[in-house]
Amino acid sequence: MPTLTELRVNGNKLSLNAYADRTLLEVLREDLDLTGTKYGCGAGDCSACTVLINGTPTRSCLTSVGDVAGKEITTIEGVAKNGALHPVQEAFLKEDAFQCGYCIPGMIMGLVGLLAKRPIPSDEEILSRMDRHICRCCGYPSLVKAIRRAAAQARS
Amino acid sequence: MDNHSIPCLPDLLDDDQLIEPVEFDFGLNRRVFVQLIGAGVLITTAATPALAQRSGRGGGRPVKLSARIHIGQDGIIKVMTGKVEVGQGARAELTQGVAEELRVPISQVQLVMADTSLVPDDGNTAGSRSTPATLPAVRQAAAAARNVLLTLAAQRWSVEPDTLEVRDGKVTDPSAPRTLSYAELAQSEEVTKLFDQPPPSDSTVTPLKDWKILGTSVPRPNGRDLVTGAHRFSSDVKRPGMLRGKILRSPSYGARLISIDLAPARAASPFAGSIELITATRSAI
Repeated sequence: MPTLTELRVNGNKLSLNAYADRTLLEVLREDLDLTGTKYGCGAGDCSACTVLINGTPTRSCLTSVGDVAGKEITTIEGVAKNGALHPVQEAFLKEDAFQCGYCIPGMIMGLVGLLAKRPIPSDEEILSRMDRHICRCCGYPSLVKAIRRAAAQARS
Repeated sequence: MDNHSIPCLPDLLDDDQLIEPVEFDFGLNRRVFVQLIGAGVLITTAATPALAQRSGRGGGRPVKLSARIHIGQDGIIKVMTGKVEVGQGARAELTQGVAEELRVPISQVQLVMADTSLVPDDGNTAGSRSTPATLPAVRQAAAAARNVLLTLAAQRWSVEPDTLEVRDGKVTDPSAPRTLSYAELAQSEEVTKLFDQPPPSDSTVTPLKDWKILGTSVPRPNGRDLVTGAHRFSSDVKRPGMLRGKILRSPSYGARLISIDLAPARAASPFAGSIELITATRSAI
């Protein structure tokens, strides 16, 4: 079985030894101890495992690690730079947009990916991106506020 | 049938009996406790950690102050509770209760939650009990700790306690003026002795009309960890020698397992050979 020996994660080249058909999610969490990316449903339904692959929000539970060799992977651990939170993270904090917080890393990655591509997103674009992120606590009202705040910051 | 089944468990379970609790050795000595809690002036080993009590209901024996509250040399107040934060906000609420009673900013309070080798038995986290049961217990302990520190300062200065003020983690004598921080006061044998007993039942908590921190809206103490992925959920914790399990449910009601081929799972796993099968009837899972 083909194996993978290097991944580019959060600007670093990391060594590993993983079968290429394992999921990116499992390798991030188990081999690289990057547990900020969450295992939710494991079936692509909840988006808790969202990471950026070359800037595009991607569900890591459906992605084989072999498919992302040489690509730039960004996880929730790589969003804050030198201790300074990303504006999207600030917006979620400001709105206290979490109960248990398990879905938040995926939510943030989805929104960071959207705003990087669409700095001034339309409501439709926001909805079409975030609609696939599920919050089991059903904290949607405060999540919507946080998303609006982040989008408004991007617009200003 | 796979021969790697753990002996005796399936038989036990087939009779619809519950598994006997497995005795793990989580013995915690002082050195490990210090590593986990951090150096401080009021360290004793948690006298009655939850595992030693095992009632699961809480509210059993009164908890010693030292098993509930630890004042660090850096002024950080660590509070041990068996409650679990699962998004309901218990961490924020209990932090507010301690900050209120000890007259410190919430940033000076850190909760140690749920680690049954460190914390007292506060019962299950269920039934909306954290607010009516655990918050009063934690507030009473914090109020008692404040009284201990206040009384000690009064003794040191040979003044009446009610002439002194307590705020921002310090006892102040406005007539002098002079101050002693909690951390300074806590470095005494008297405090260690007084913390080695349960809080007096008449420890008075702050009345509602004087609340400054309770009843206000505060950010979640661990909010930053939640947005950076640093927070460790239970599924993020790795323990030495930890095994993982997966439940395979039968496709139809009442079905019983006749055989299973674990070879593909072993072949796919980098830990090939360590996969074990435990069968269980529906009542056990």
